[in-house]
Amino acid sequence: MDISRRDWQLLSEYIDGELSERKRIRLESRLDSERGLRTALRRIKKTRRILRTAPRLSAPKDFVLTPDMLPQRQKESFFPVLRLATVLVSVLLVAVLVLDFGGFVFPLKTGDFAAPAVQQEALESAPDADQRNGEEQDLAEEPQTMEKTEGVEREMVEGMGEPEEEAKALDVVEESPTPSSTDAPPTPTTPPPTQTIPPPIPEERKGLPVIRFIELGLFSLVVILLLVRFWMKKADRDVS
Amino acid sequence: MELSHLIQESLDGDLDSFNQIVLEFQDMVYYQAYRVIGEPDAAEDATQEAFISAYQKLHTYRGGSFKSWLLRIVTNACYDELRRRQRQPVTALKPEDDHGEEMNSPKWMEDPAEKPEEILQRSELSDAIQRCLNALDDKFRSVVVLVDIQGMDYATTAEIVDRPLGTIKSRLARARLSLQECLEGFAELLPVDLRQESEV
Repeated sequence: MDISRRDWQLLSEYIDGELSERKRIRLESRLDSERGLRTALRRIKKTRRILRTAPRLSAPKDFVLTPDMLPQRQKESFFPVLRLATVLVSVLLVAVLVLDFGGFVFPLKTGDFAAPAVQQEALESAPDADQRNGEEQDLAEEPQTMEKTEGVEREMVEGMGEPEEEAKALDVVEESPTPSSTDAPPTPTTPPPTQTIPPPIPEERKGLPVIRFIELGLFSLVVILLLVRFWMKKADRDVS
Repeated sequence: MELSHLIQESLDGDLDSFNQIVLEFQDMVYYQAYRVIGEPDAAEDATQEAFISAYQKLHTYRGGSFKSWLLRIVTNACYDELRRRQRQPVTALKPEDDHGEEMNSPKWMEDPAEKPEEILQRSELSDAIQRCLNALDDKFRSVVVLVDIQGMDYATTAEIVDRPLGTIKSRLARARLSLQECLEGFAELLPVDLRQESEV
């Protein structure tokens, strides 16, 4: 070919009437002066004519459809339902994740079933302990009591780690929330009231089982739905 | 019956109505498949698949040229068939005549009104065109078949093969260049008027 590919494409568009007015006029003026371009035009026209006059072939048989050729119709009807279900479960999962990590409180958190009861008890007993502490301070002014206290403290230091004594001391605090009268035996070994409050349950651990189970369940459901859809689509494609 | 009416009845599940559409368009669809794939058996498969697909996707037809919509489906079916054949290459069998001899072109190409030598020449030219088409890349072949054999305009072709107009122009020009070079080797098969034209 003695013309450029660009010119060949121009000629190709020209014979199909796809050139703009401006390009067509320019090309026609070039055709008047360039013999190579004219030869190429003749060739491309001839090629198109051969193709257009190529013998038309008829279908060798009838391609009419029979009902057994269309087995996928029922299967396809599941598709929209599955798609909708996947979207809904995904939205639900996102909502649960947002509520969980967004700091919203869930009433379903299991930690809340057990923990508040203990904490509440501890909080209720706390003022009593404070009050008792104040009384103890009053009593401490009495020398006898002071001696007793010192004695017990000494015992505690000597018998460090004696569980009975410690347990006894703790029991006294936990089991006697009522304010003791002045003649009641002093309990000098009473530990500070804060020790009786159970350690706070970490925020992350509070609602661990239920909320995580919900998230895990929803996530599994999304994955299962996606896999089923993928499998159905693949099977559909293989058949078609 | 009118095409739109047949389409509506097919959408309502009437397979007989759709089969009337099939009978009306099967030559065009088969011819497209044959020219794009280049083998009669595979073209038959692609044609059947195209009609099944058309029936199943009929609800996606939104008016306009039904022929273009159908050509788009058959072109995609051809691409699928070509891809399948690339994965599992098959040896093409030439059709046989009543005596078990291989024919260059099958009987259904014959026109009873033609003389034997004309039939032979016509079938040889058809084979030559197909051989030149087969030498093209799939994407060029589908474009040139749509424009030069099916007579589609550029815009419709762009819609059918789902490519920009510029791509269609460029692919068509390149395909025509390759075909022109290839067909020069079959000058003796051309009709007399075309032969004389080349001698000018």
